[in-house]
Amino acid sequence: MSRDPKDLLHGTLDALVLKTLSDGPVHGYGIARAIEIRTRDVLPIEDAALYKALRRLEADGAIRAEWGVSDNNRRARFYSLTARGRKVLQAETDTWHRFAQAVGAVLGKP
Amino acid sequence: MKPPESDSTPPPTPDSALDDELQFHLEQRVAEFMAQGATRQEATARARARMGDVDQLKEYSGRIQARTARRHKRRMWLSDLRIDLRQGLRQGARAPALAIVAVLTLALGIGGTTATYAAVRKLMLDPIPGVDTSRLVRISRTNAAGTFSVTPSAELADAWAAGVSSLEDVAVFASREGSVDLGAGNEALSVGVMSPNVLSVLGMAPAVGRVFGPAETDVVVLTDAVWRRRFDRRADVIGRTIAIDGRPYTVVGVLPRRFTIPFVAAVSDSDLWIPRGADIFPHVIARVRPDVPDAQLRRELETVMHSLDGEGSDGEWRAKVSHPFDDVGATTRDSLLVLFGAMAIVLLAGCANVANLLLARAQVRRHEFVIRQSLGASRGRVIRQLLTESSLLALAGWSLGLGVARGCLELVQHLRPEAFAMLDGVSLDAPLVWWSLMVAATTSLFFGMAPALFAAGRHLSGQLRIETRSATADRGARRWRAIFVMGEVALSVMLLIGAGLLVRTLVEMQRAPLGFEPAGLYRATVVIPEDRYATQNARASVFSQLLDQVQALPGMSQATWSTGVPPEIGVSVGALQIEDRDLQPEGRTFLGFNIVSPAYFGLTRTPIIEGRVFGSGAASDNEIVVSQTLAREQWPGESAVGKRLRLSSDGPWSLIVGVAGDVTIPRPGAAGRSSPVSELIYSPFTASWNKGMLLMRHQPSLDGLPGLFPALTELAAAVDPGIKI
Repeated sequence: MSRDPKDLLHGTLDALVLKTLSDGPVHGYGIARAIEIRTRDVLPIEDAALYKALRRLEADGAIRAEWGVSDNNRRARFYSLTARGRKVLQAETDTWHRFAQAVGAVLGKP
Repeated sequence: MKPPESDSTPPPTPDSALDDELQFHLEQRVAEFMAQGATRQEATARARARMGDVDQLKEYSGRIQARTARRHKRRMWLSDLRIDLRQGLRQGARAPALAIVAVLTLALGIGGTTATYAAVRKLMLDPIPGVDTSRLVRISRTNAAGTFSVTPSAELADAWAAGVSSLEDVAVFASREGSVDLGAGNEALSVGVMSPNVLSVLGMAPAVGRVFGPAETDVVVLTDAVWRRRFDRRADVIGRTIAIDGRPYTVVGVLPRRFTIPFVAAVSDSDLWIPRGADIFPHVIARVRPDVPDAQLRRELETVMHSLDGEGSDGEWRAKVSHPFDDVGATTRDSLLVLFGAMAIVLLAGCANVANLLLARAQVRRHEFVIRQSLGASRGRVIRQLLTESSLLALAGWSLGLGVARGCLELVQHLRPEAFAMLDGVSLDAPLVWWSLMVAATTSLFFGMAPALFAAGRHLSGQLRIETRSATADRGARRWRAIFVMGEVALSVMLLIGAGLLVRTLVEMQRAPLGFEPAGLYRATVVIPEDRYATQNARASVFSQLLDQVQALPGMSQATWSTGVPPEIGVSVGALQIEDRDLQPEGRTFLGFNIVSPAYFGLTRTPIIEGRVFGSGAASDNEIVVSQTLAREQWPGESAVGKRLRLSSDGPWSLIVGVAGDVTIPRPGAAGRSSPVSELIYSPFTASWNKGMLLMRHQPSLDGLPGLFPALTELAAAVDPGIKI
């Protein structure tokens, strides 16, 4: 399936989502906040884009969703990593590191 | 609830999940922003802005869901199929006798149908797969009554090619024997001569290399069979030199595998082809311009023919135009269709058998279906399961049937019935395999539908207890069914035997009665150098010298000289005159004419019915033997022996000393039935020509020609190296 060109950094976004889920099941809002905190709000990710990534990953079998109860006792959909998701994460991480190293080698360290 | 399998995607979540999720998300965002000090209104606006395009997200999600749903369905379908296949195999293992009988029945049916279809396709539908033969004709000459047909002279063929505007292209070819050295010594192969355009007239291109050009002489084109058998399909065969009758020829190309002359009457089994010489009476094939009616073409051909000297300018000869399927003949066609029909019946009966077997089996398995349905399997699901099982049977029957078809085709090639000479080289090609697979698929529906419908029947959705109650009552019914099934199997075996007999009849019909015994009979055409043996005496001496040597060969029971043996005999065209009779000739007579030694009759087992064979020596020069029909026609009610006749008005009279039995020349071309050469004259072999046919009856123990030919060439070389065999 072709990716929507308007999705910001979708490949990277997928990796971020998977990485976030590697610590355990989180709901959609939780994932958004975790990424915001870890990236110190540098990446302007629209929430819609995040949910697209979630749907995409779910369809690909990388993550699994289950209804649960949130901290504030609300019904929320919790996502967790599948075995396949773990593999995808590993692959995406490796790709990213190679990519970053390559770009870094050209542009030099900050 | 069923636990999700690790490798399968769970069924898609309903769209409402997204709405709920986004609702929760927005609330969390609003709470977050309000905690930072925004008013509810501001916080809501910021949360929405942060969200982005929700409509686009929903559309995206919908798309993904649809895709997942499709994938899921496909996966379910495949997993069902896997289950059904496993179930089918298990069923087969549980009732192996049934499976074996069903598969064998189907294999015979499918194989037989496929093999006969191959013949039907070749002889009636499409003689060369992938080549348009609708404008292809064979042209020859025939007498006014249409009883004889003769190939034209090379001169006439050329005149036709040059002078008939309705013909797009005219090609000629002929066969002859040859001593060929492919690199491993001499061997007897059939060498064909042809004009360069035979392939283009047929609409084919050479497989490798090229065909020779019009001016080339010492070049040769191989058939695919020779290329395959002798040269392992190596491309470097091009440019090689091979010797034909001691002369070097360069290989320039290889004919395509499907190369065949699509006319029964002109079928060719040549192994290699060289450019034509002038002294042949070739077969002529041509491509006709579009929309030219046969009558018009015949008129044009006759105009050219009658303008030529010595080609029947008096109008006695007619032109004959035949299309690929004309030559097949009504008898062959009918037999073939009957055979095809019989095979279809075998297949249908096979279907009925298998359906019956499966039905019987389904009755036994009722219990299983009831349980399946009560556990929630839909009718469609049960039908599908059973159809999968029958497809498995059909598939097994099909693959075995391909083997059967192959065997049948090989058997036909082995038997080589005369009228089926065109079937040479017919093998299981891709279209045939597909055709048979289609047949198999159709049959699986035929025999699978009834049991499937039965298994899914409404009456089964009743109670389980019926089963226990009727277990004993059923036994009687089951026994009847078994008898029924056995009867059907017997019927299909009978049909098959009938079909086999039909084939045999067909073969016999094409072969017998010949009026002489061809088995164990070999012939070799011998040409002695004309310049060295100019006188009749010299020729006679070398002929007799060679004959003595040949007769001394091990395993040779008899040998003799003649100029022909049926079906290759001469034809005399002239006015038959009979002594002491005022015979008003009704135009020309066509008489079979064979010049033979006295030993010919004994050797070929042609019976002498009355009188005697002519003696040898000069005293017998004017003695002749006539065929029974000729004797009966000319001297009804009295003996022909002692009468005299001649074939030209000024020739010497010949004395009839004996009457021989009629011989039959298989001529599939005429009416589809072998027609006896009714009027035949035998006259003594006198070495008046430098060419003769050596007829030999060889003991069948020695495997015939392979050993015979080298021995003959060796003998001939010892007598005179210039002798060609």
